[in-house]
Amino acid sequence: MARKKRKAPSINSSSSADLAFTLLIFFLVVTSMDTDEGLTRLLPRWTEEQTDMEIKKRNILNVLVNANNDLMVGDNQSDVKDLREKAKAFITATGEFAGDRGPELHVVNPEKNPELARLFGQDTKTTKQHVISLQSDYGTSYEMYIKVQNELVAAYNELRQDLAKEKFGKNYSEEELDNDQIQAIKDYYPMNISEANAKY
Amino acid sequence: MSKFNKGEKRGMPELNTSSLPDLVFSILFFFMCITHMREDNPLVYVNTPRADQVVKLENKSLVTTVLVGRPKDKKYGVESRIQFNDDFLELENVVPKMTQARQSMKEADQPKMQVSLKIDKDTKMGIVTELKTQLRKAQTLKISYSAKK
Repeated sequence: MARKKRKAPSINSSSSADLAFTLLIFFLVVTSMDTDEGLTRLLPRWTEEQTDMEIKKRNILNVLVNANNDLMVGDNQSDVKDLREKAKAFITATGEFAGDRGPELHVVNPEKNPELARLFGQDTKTTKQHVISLQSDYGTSYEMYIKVQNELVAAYNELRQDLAKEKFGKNYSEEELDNDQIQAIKDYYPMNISEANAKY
Repeated sequence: MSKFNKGEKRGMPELNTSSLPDLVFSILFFFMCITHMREDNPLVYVNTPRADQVVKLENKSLVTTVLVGRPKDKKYGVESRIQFNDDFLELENVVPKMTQARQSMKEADQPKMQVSLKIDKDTKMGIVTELKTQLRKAQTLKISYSAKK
């Protein structure tokens, strides 16, 4: 008896596209793509007794923000717009140029930095010991505080960018420079921002 | 007469859609890879300030988020409060909570733990400074002031 060969009926898969679309839309709704961005900082280690660091007064640039969001840089009241230039002038200040930098800025004594001599030449002098001391008040608004922080970070980034252009002819970014060069530039302009406790 | 026109009825050939599900599934997998679950539902209003020098926080698994802002629900008052993991956090509990959060991470990642501070721009610095002091006590020293570009 000749039997008709029977094929298994194929499953209609036209709706699996709809199924997949539903899953896709579900994932689009419950997940988010935004990556967190921010100004990264390293806080100082907590010690029980407050240790006072010995820093020469001339190596400190005081940046104060009071409860009315007024800014003081060095000894003078200042505007946020001028902060970047003032910070740059302070970080790069060398003893020789003391007169040109304006009387309100203290001047850092640059020191020879033997570790950087390999990349930047024998007479490399850096202002490693400078500190920008940022102090806020209890009533300072966070928005103003971040504005000031942003300007300070911008000052460092601009200086580092200038240095990278001058020494390596490239932009200061991880894609264009190798780790060694990045580290060297960071050592040349170390970011020394101290966020002291608020004054009450 | 005509050589080519065979006189058959010509309709639009039907498009083969059997690979459409595969296509959609690949889009689905793509989105599953590059996105992450929306986790925290904020109990406080957070509108982060603007800054143009921000850096991206690369590794999501290392980042712990803390929010500070005015509570959305009036019954919690109008003073800025700290939110951590769907609950309000008092200042004195910051140290144990942060220690707990660190211990739940992989051991190799624990020193790299980073705290992202999502703070509303109208917050006063007082609570921020106190929070920072507590974070120092908890040995979570890597922080990031979350900001928009």
